[in-house]
Amino acid sequence: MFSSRIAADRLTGKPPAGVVFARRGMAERILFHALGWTLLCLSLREAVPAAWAWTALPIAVIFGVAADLSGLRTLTAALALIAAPLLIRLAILAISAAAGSDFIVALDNGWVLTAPYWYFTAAAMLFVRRRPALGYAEAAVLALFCGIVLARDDDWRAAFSAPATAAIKLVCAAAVLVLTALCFAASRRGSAAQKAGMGPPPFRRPDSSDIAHYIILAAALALLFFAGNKMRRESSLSSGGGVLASDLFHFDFNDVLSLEPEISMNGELTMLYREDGPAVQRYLRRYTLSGWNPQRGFFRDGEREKDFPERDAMPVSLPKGPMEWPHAGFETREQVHQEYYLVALDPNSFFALDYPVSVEPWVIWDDASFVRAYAVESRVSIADLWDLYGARTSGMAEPDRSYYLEGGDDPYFISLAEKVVGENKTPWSKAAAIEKWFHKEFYYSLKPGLAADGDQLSLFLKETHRGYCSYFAFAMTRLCRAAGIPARVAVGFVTDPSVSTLGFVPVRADQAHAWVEVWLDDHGWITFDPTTDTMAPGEEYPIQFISPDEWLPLIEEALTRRGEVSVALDEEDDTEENGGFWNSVVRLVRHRPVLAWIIVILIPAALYAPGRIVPGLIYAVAAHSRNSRKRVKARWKMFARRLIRSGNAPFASETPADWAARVWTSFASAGAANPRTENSARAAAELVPDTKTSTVPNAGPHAGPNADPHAPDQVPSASPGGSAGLSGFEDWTALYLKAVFSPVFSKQDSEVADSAAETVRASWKKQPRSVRLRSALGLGWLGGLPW
Amino acid sequence: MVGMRFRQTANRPNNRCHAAGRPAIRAAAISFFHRSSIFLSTRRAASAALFLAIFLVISPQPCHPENAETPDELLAQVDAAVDEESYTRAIALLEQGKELWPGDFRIPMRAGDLYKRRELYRLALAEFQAAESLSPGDTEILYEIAETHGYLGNNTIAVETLEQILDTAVGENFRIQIISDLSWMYFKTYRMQEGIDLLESTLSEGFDRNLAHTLGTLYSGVYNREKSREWYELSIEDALSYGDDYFASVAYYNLALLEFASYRFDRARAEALNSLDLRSRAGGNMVIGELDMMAWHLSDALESYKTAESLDHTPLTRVDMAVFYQRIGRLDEALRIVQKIIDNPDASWMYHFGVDKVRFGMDISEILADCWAGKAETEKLTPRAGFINRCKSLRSRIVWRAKARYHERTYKKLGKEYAEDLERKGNHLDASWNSYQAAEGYPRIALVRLEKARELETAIMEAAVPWYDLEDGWTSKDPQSLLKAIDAFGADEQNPRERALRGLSGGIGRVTPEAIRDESLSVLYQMNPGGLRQYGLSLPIELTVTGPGRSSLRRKTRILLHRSNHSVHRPGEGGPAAAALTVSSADDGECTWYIAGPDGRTRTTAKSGNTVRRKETASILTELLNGLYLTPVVLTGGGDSRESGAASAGTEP
Repeated sequence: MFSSRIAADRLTGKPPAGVVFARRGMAERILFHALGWTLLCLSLREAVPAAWAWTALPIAVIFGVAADLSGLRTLTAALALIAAPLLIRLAILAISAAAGSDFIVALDNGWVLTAPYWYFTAAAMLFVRRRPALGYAEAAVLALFCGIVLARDDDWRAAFSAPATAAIKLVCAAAVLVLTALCFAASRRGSAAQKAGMGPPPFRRPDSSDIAHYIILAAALALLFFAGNKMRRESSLSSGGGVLASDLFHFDFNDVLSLEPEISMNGELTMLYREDGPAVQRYLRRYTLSGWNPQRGFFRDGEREKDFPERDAMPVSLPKGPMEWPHAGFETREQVHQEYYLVALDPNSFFALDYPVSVEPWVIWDDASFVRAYAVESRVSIADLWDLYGARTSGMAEPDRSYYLEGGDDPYFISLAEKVVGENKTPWSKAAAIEKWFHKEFYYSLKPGLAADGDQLSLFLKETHRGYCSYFAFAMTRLCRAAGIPARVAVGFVTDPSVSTLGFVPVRADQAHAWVEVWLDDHGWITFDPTTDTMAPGEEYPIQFISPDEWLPLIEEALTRRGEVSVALDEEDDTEENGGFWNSVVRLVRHRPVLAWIIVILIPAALYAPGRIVPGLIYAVAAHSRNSRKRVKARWKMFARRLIRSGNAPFASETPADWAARVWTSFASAGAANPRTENSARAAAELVPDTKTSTVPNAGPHAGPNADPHAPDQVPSASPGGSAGLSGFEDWTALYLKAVFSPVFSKQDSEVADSAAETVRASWKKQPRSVRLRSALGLGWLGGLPW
Repeated sequence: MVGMRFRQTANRPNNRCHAAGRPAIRAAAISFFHRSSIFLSTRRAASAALFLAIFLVISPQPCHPENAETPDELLAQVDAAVDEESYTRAIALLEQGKELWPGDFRIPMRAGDLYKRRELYRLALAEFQAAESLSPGDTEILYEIAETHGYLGNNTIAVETLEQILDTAVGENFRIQIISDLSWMYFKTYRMQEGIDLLESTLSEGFDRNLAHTLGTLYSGVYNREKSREWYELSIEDALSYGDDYFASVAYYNLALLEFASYRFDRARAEALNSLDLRSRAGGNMVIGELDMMAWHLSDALESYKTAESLDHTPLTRVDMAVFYQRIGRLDEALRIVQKIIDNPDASWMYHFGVDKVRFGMDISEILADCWAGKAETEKLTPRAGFINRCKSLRSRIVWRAKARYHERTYKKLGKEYAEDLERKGNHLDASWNSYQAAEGYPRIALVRLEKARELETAIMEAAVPWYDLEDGWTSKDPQSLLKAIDAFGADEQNPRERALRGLSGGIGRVTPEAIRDESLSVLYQMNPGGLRQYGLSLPIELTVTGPGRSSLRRKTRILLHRSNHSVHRPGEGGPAAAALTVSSADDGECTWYIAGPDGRTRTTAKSGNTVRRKETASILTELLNGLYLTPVVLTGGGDSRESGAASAGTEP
């Protein structure tokens, strides 16, 4: 039946209404199909030829549209759509066989793997154009498909870094959401028009309500994006060895030591560092986590993190310009110069050895493969057993000392520390005994397991004896503190000296590590690494490699472009240096999530304040006034503004009564256009002359052409239009005018006005949802009344 | 076997039959390995000695760049900095030197050398070119440029440069070095005859075992097996006379590959054992493993592979093992090994084996395609009871089938690229063969390619004929060709025979006469029971149920087997290839399940109650079928493993 109507429309030379509406949604639908196709081809990129990936989807769209325009019945068109590519393929096969060409093999590499999607797109183009309601199913299927592809643990990482992959997926997820909404909207419009048998509405310029829609949509997307990123960052800990999380396009360390039940290892290149001299294993420190409380465990404690008591806390982020810090004068330390070239790390990450004395951030070349580069001088302990054996910890001032012993008063840890430390007397020997105990008695495991009571540390120490570096660092620090030795956790990378070229050492994400620093007087913080090398039985360490193809070109770049490096100055524009506004947004979200949420909420609040919130509050107060005139005026104005926001602004020359009459008529005709209110609208149209005589008594001089000032007072009846027009709005307007202009305004008038208002509101609720939604979301900037 | 396929740069492989793959020339790559390890090691030793000498001379002196008043002093300081691994300082010194003495070519030359030794070839090339612009026509610099181009894969430029300096090079050793490199580059660019002419004329002036070895490799590239063998043997003889065991071991290994590629498997084994006698290297063990796989001595093959794996720094042996496990139906194990290979993105080893990423990708894709398709087929033949279990099974089959299809298509795409590359180089035989493989599934196109390859190869190697019959039989679905191939295969060629039997058993469709099909299936089962289900083949099952509750048990069992695509027959009606499933229910409520192969030998048993539910019945049947379709492989670790392995694998069908 539907196809016969299409054919009939074609005979008259007019496009069918539904088709017109479907065409108006074509752009977003094609975009959605293209997004799904891109994701599919990215996932299958090893097999699908590039030529096929670029050309097949447009062909599918053309085939689908052509099938629709062919004038064939739907079933016939669908069969033709199925047969056409098969016939073409058969023809190519025959030609290939005859010519001895293997073109068909290349064609099939694309066809075989993507045929279902191709058919889906072509069929959607045919069916949705003819039956717009099927657009809902189309959008749902596409959203589901994209969701599945995005959720897959795929190998996109061959092309992008892990954080970049995650960020791209997040952007794609947002795009899927928007496109789904747009496609649903297009389907709604199309199917409504098809039911009404009407063409599309005339083009209109976007007004304030549209702008409000876009802003709210943008805010919702931003919220989704930030919320998604936060969730992803938390979940990424498991693939970052428990200490490294991935943020938008970058890795960075977590400032709380979390103990995960299971982690995986990501072997991506995160940075290069360069150091002269024989390659040695280095602990490249990102943070120290000195703070401890029972709820959070070890965490970074802002200003209290210090490398020695007399010194300010080390900056978390790389300084903007060169910076120097005082020397502590610790014994047996040597100065080490290093250069860092960050690849997939937060550009503000500041790495150094224990402890840095100067840093020199660089401005590097524009098209660099590195996100940031800088040089650091650090003073590194070279003390040996004999230097450290007798060192004490009493030199640390009492407030600091008690701070670094927090969490050491637990009876379990005290007794365990006594048992492990045994006869050792000096702080160093005690710490060394604890370290050795972990090396001997524990296993390294990527799957420490989930504690039933949530206490992962107890599970590690009392039951399984299996864990990864964070478990060891956490436990050793607690034990050291229980033994009276000031200790803290440090997180960063531990390097592999065997992989070094011209002093450049690549650092992989799976080299993220946590270790322990113990305070010894005159020597400062000394590194201990309790993590054992012994793998848990039944487990195999997933050894990761970086292809030289990946990092040797970076060395070449660093060496050839070295001449373009200059020292960054403190006064340089931070937005330019750090990638501008968006980087600031990202940092804000990461470091101040609550503030980010507040800002996101404040933006719409600010937008709505002048047109909606402020006048709304004023009228709301007046609407509850004891003065009946004030009350009636405020309530009518509130509703009038609502009507204006829905796109029914009064003309400049119109009186309120004229406007009320026009609005009533336009709503009545719109109601008639709406199939849901068609019958009532028809009735309304028949009764329009009667409604013009049904007016309110004692209306003022501007009460409009239908007002009869000599008629006796009576309760106005609801407009007979029922739900079609705005029943009673003219009467209510007349009473509003009476309240404004008439010297007499009785209590009865007020009651009649309230009753009319109720009728109008009831009638308003029956208006199409789109009208009400537009009014509800409109900013109200142009919502003022001209009178 | 796949490890060998990696090195098939000069001859055609047979990837589809994996371990039954065509014997192929691996000499090319191995000789490259040999070349890079022997030749370069000599050069490195000389360089190291030079550096040591310089270090000893200059080490007591302070290294302050500002004190360098001549380029020689500066270069001495650079060397000292390099010895101290202070590369930043060394590079800074060189940069400073370039500014102070811009006309001295030695400074960029030293910088180029520094970068080249650390595989920073682009930087090295730029420095060498800068040096050449300061000293035009300098043969040493041009040689370095040529070598660096070679490392960067610019083979044509490397050849041109080497040709340019060949006539002007001064010093016999340097000239030999250029000739050696040039002849190797001729091999890489498939200009075999030019390489042969050059080496023969050089060798006529005086013998050099490195050159002789390269000449052997070049002859193998043009399929002149006798000449190739002759030159290999000469180089081995010379190496042994000088006590160079390592060289001789590598050369023996290359000789083994040559024999393998010539279908002379007994001689290949002898040469591989000679190689192992001199040095236990991964390559030698791998060849032995592949020969065992070819002869279907599965346990021995696995043992050799494991030994090779422990010595191998490349994934080549692992690929061989993955193929091995895939062939005997241990698909999860094969997938696990492949995943391990994929997890390591370091492809630098390929450089020394003449393998490129396309070829490697083809092999990995093929294994994955076979494994996933095998899993889907096996699942199809696995009894599942209950709606949810059947839905899960269906889902798994769809997913695995899709994965198989994806890897199969990846294989075809890469195969096409690879064939086109070989064709460009002028290696028509390998190009035809790879093109044939990429066109599998398109019989008309594939047969054209196969015929071309057959024409080229059988003209020089008669022993290749049955291998082409095998391929022809599979592609054209012709049982007669398969039977012909089976008759022609030698005792050492059990691996291709297994593939031919698979085709006759139903692999090429039901075009084979029923009697031959049953016979082939029975023999195939004895040879490789684990290899049946993954290709969609199964034995007919004769079902016998006795004891109380037998009708219910029989019905359940029959339904489950039917649904899992098994053909169920009454006793004696299943034909010669039928397995016998006996369910014996006792009065005490205990039920015993036996399953026996076509030879009547019980493969596995299970016990249950006689009132088992359908789900339990399904799991019992699954267990029994897994036992029935299991290829036994026994790792003995001793010298007698060969016999036990052969017995366990049920060879000599």
